[in-house]
Parts: sequence; structure tokens; C-alpha cells
Amino acid sequence: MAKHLLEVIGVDLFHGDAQAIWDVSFHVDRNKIVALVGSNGAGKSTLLDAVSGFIIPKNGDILFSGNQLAGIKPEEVVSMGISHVPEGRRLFSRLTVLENLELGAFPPRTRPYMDQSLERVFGLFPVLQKRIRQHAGSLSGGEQQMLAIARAIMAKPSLLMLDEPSLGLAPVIVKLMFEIIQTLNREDVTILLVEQNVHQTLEIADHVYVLKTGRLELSGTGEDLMRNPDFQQAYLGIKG
Amino acid sequence: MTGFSSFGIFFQILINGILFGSMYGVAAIGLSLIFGSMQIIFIAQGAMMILAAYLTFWFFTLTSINPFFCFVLILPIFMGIGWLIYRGFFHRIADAGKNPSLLLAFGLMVLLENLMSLAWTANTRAVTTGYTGMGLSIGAIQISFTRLVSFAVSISATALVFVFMKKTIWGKAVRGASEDMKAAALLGISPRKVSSLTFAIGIALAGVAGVAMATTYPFDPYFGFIFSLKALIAVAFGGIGSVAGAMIGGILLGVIESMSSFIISGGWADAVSYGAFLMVLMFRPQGLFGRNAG
Repeated sequence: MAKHLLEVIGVDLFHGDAQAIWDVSFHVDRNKIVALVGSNGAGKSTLLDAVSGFIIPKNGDILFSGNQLAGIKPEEVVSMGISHVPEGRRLFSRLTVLENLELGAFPPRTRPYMDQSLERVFGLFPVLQKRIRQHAGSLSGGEQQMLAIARAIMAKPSLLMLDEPSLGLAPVIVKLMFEIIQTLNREDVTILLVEQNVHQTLEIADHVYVLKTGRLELSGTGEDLMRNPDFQQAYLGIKG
Repeated sequence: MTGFSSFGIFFQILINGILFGSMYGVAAIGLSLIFGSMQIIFIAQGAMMILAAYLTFWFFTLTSINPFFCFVLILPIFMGIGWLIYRGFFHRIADAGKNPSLLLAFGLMVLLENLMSLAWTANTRAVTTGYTGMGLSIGAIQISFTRLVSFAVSISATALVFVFMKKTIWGKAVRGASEDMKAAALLGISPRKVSSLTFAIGIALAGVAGVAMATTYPFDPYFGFIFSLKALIAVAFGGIGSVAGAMIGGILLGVIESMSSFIISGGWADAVSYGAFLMVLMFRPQGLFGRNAG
């Protein structure tokens, strides 16, 4: 068994000719919550897109359970056990809640467990069961985020990547989202979390990587970073 | 003209429009499906339909096979052709954006038109059987047997596609991918497989419309382009992405053409239908039966 579930080693990533990530390395261990934080444009979502196969690294490796991910098509990455909830949720708004969830279990290895997976997500998100026949586009922002996470876990991932799950949500829903992330983690789902909500992220993450304009700036546990004066000033608004 | 005969003529024209419009509808569903996955108007849809009409004509002339049996023959053949067209041509340029795909579709249409003209000459053809002139009489209304069968097949094909899209996991995948291809890929849905499938179904539907055309109306190699435009109008009427909407849009277009031919004159049918197309684009761009975006 590989030492780390996900290992990103010295990757350089480009959007066309523009370099977005310079020589970034990090790893995610099994059953942990690992967070990538940083301001807008730091390259957090670009890294998730590279893990999902949408961007091929020019240099470096991305290993999942020891297997090379670079060059594998996005639609094949999910079958390997990685689910990605992108920023903006990207639900199928014209499909019903149930149809969105059914498509979450599209990979052939997960289809036989459809009923079991539906039962699991309705246990986690009871409100979705009440909205089962509604079009996804008609749900509230919080319900849409719940559906996006529920759809991703229908594929029974071992690694769940969440890109800004709290973005644009009311504080009470944000609190609920972070509780759900912890619940999923207790159910043996490893979490890679991209967030700008630094305070709550530091509370739940086992390890945090800080990106600044495409480069890895800091890393450590939440407690380490809380004590770091540079981090406090830049991300927590605490003046030294 | 008596009240009864006016009433009878009105219904006769209405029924003719519905029967012809169902062919627009079935071709429009194919056009709408391909638009969903490729985001282009597959302008060669009409030429594919005429190819199916010529193959029906050929099967009938060479083997005396019942032209209605051609529905069963053409459907799998055209599914295969659709799959091959996508894998052989469109898949190779899918990453280059919409314009190369649109140009390729145009080139395919011109190529097909010229090949058909070479193979069967540019003369108008028709499939005439022993029962071509037969029909049902309901009061003063005459319904052609061949048109009625073609209508029934078109509606059955629509119902099949509707059930496929609503009830099967691949149908749902096609609907999801037509809304957001990246999100579909994140769920393990292969854009290549979805596009191959929609092309296969779309071209198979062009085949169904072509057999219906061959058994009911005369055709020539260049009629396909006009038919593609009419299918596009039907899609605009029904709203992109709606199977039932495309069929209803096609029937509505058939009725508009039929009624305007009768009320004004045959020469005005196209002008009225294009005028209605413009009105829908201006005042209801999501289609008469479509939902507002967002």
C-alpha cells in the first residue's frame, strides 16, 4: 500500500501559455482532512482540476494510491475513487434531485449499490429526500451544495475533493456543511478541502497547505498556522 | 362552399399538416440531440434523411421489399453510420471548437448531396406501391394510408427516444452532458461515448424521417438542406433539449405551412414559417415549450 493516498510531487501547471502553479508538492493521508487555503487566484482550484485530469502537469507527478494520475481522462479518475465537487456546484439544473444522484453513481462499479448509496445520502441530507422530484435548479443555494456533495459521494469515493463548499451560503448552512464534512470523514472518506473560510477550515483540518500566487507558502497543522504571525496577518486579519 | 365542406377542408388541411409535420418533428429531435452534445447545428441532418429516402427507394426498386420494412432496416444502419461519422470525423476535431465542426457538417452535406446526385441522378424520385393511393375516409376527410403509417412510426420513434432519455442511465447521462459536459466528466460520464450515442440516435432519427419521406412524398438529392432548416425551425418552436417539444414544434410547423398554403397560397408557406421562426426567436427564444434559462 502506498504511503499516502494522494501525492502531488513538484507539479508545474499551465492555463494555455500562462503558468498557474510552480513546483508545488503536497500529500493527503488516508482518513484525514487536508485543506488548501489561499486567496483568489492562488491556484487552489487549478490543483484540484489537475488531480481530476482536466489539466495535465507539464512537470511533476500526481499519484493516487501509488498510481500515476497525470494523463488519465477525467471520466476515468472518478472510477479510481476520486470525487470532485467543483466550485459553483455544476449541478444539472434541468434534471431532478433523484436524477442528479443517480448520475452520481454512474461508474459501473458503483451502480449496483445505487439503493444503498441513496439511503446513505438521504440519511446525511434528509432535505434532499423531500425534494427528490424537484429540478436541481429550483433548490436553494444550501440545498444545491448538499446535492452537489451527495452526488459526489454516490460514487463511493475514497478521496472527496471539495472546492469552496461554503461559498455564498448563510452562516448556519456553512456550519452544517463543515459538520457534514467531519461526518463523512468519520465514515472513512478522506477529504481534500479548498476553502477561503480559513477560521472554520483550520478547526476541522488535520493538515493545511497555504498557497500564494501558485506557490506553496506554508504548511502545518491548524494549530501551527494559528500561531504563525505571517499567517495570522495575511489570512486571519490579526495585526502583529 | 357549404359550412360542412369548409369544416371538412379545414380538418383535411389540419391533418395533412400534422402528418407532414411529424417528419419535421422526428428530424428535429435528432438535430436537438446533436446540438445538445456538440453545440452545433448539424446541417447535414436533412441530407442524411434524403440518403435514407434513396436507400428505401433502392431497396424497394431492386428487391421489391415493402418500403415500411425499411424502417427496421434503416434504423440500425443509420445508428451505425451516426456512430461512425462521430468517431471518424467529429471526434477528431471536437477540441478545436464549434466552427470546424460546423464547417465539417456543411462539407458532409455538400458531399452527400453530390454523391446522391451521382448515384441516383438529380431527378425527383418517389416510392410508389400498390397501396400508395389507398386511404381512410372519415366523413369528407381523406387520410392517406402511407402518411398515417409514417406518422405512427414517427410518433413511436419519438416515444422510444423519450422513454430512453427519461428512464435509462445513459439517457439521463445524455441529458446531463448536454447541460454541462465538464460536470458529466466529473461523474465518470465519457464525453466521447455520450457524443457517439447522441450522433447515433440523431442520425437514426434522420433515417426514420427519410423512410417516412420516401413512402409519402417525392424527393431529390438537394431537398435535404431545406429540410434541415425546417427541422431547425421545429427545434426553435419546441425549445432545445426537449424531445416532446421538438415533435410538437415539427407538427406545429407542418400545420402552419399547410394552413398558409391553403389560406394564402403555396408560395407563401415558407415565408410564413420563416416569419413565425423569427417571431419565436425574438419573443420566446427558449421555445414555445421550453423553460427560461437559469
